Amino acid sequence: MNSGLERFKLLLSEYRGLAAWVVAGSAGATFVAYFLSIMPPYPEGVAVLTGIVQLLTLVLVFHFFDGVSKKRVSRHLRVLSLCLPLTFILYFIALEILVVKVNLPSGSYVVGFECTAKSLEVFADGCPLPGSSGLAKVIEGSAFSLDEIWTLRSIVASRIILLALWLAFFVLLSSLFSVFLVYNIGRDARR
Amino acid sequence: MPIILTILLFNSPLAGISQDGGEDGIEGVTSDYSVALDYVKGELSDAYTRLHVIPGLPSERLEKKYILDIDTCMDFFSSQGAEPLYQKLLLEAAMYDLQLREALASIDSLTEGVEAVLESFLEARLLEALHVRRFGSSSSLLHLNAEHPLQYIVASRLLAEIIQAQTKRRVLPSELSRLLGLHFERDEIAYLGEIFNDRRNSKLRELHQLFPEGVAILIQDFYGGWGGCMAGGIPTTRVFTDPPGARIRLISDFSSLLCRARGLPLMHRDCSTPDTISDGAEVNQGRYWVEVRWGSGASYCGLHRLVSSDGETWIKLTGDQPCE
Repeated sequence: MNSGLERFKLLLSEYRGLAAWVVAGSAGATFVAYFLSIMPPYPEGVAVLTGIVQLLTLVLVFHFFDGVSKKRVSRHLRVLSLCLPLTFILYFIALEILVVKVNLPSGSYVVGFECTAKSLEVFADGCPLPGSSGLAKVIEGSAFSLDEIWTLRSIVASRIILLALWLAFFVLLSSLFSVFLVYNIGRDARR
Repeated sequence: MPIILTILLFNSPLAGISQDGGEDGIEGVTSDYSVALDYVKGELSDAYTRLHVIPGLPSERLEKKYILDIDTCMDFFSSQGAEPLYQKLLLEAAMYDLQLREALASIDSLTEGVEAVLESFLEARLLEALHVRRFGSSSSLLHLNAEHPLQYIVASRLLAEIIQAQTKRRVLPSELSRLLGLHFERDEIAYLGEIFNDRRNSKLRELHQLFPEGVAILIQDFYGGWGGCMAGGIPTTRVFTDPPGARIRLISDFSSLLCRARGLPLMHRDCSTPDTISDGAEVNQGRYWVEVRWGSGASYCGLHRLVSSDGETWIKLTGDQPCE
């Protein structure tokens, strides 16, 4: 019988294999490039953070789901299968609304949703809210001082929302894979 | 007579040449550079006897390092009648050129395209020398490797690209990467390469054909903000004036709208805090009301995008009045 650590290493290996299959099955580099292109622009190093979160998820799933019944696994897989696309859609909506792309090497900016007092004076027609047109021009007009237009707390909140949804998606994705793997690895070991 | 101004993106060093008589200026400098190169080569032929070298290094390394006594060399240039800082830059350019050629000669399977890039290096060094001649007090230009001007960075990366493509190596030879003083980042090459191209020279000629005499040029030159700003950092640029020495005041378009909303003049302190910058200073990119005042009393005010991704787009400015 394998030790717990060895079985966790096996889980990691299987998880990597499954993830590689996903990448290969969806035209490899295109898949990766797509995910890189929709990554939150803040904070830097979000890819590393995502990797850490995935590993943490694997650890927790391995700890709590080792040896559980097929019925319980099935219930979790059903819930995860439902939540996963929902989270992705929510993230995608947030990305489209809260992130403004500018034609500069600096790329993308996360905007806020609460205008400063100055901004309310300037924009008599209404505060430039996320999702409205011409935000790139507004940002350029402020010389990229976003906190002149939106309050700092709303910018920070937007960043957190984006990051939270992104990480939630990967937590769910790695949970789905790992619950499936933990159950099947455990079943093979029991035979 | 209205002052005619032009914003020319990415072109500041060559504009410095214009004041010295268009292309004659660079020809003159190239000639100086040749003198410097010949001098350095001549001295190297018997480096031990005629040049001061740093003691303690193995002799075989000394021959390759081209460690020269700057003072000795500057004496030579003084005898040629050149300005001290300018001489030093020319000399360093020549020494660097020799070192670079030496390092490149040690790389196998490196054939095509290198000469052209070396010319770019030479041009970059000479342009820096011109900058110093023009902005003589600019401390940032005293050490060529301390702050990399655009041309130098571009030339370095173009060279790195050629070497990597031809040698199929992922990592540059350490000797060369140390000499270039840069970490090779593939993502940046395409963008930088796009900026640094031959059209720059033709644009300059075009400019001088359009305004043959008394041209005042406001130049915007991309400077920084490459890596590290993917997470919403602020991209920056540099603004130069020609004739040099003008005072520049900038207020963001956003602040100008605030002034208008409050019924105040454009640069009133209750609605804006204009950035008063000196010639050659670095500013955030963006859309600004730009006020330029020369010592002669000429001035200009207008709304412009100081955004370097516009590449070589020129914006002709007309008018002769300060911002109210």
